[in-house]
Amino acid sequence: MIDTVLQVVGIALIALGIVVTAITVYGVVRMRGLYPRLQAASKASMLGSVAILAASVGTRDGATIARAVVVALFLLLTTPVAAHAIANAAYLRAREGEGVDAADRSEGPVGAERAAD
Amino acid sequence: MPEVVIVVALACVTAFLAVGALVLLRARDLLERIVALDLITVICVGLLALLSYLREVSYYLDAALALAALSFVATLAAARSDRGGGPFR
Repeated sequence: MIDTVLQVVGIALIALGIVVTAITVYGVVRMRGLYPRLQAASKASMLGSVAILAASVGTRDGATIARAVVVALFLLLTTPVAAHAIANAAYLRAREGEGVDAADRSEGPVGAERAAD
Repeated sequence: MPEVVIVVALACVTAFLAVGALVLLRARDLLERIVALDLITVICVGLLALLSYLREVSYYLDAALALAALSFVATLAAARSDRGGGPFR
């Protein structure tokens, strides 16, 4: 009984991960410009992979589940930091090229705190 | 889990990986390339997890963890070096 439930949960999580990853890839292909692309890539790709990793409950193997939890936590922690670093680099480059007002007005993160140089 | 599901999922994720490679090749900017590479590594982590479920060995997830850590450090270093600075500003 519990085996069947875990297998169904695992299959559903794999399907969810595939769907979310498909949406991510479609968004990255479809959107133009760095900031929309980063928006699509940073959040949804992480969620797709975390869903696939959470499907490890379907394997009913302790070592696999423990490692999958570690990898999922690592992804949840590091992907926003990496996305912030990329966006920060793009914003600072636009600010150096065009000045603070132009960087804020065009496509910069409005209201974001100024990063220290 | 039944093998059919995992094999189909592997095929889908491999197709996404190919699309990600196309995005990487078509990117015009350095930062867009970094975004595409980040996306490709996160998809690779999912691919390794599916491979681990298929073969029922857990150590593919160690490789996934190492790949995620390397990707994180590489993304940070590339984003910092875009402005001409070192890794520690």
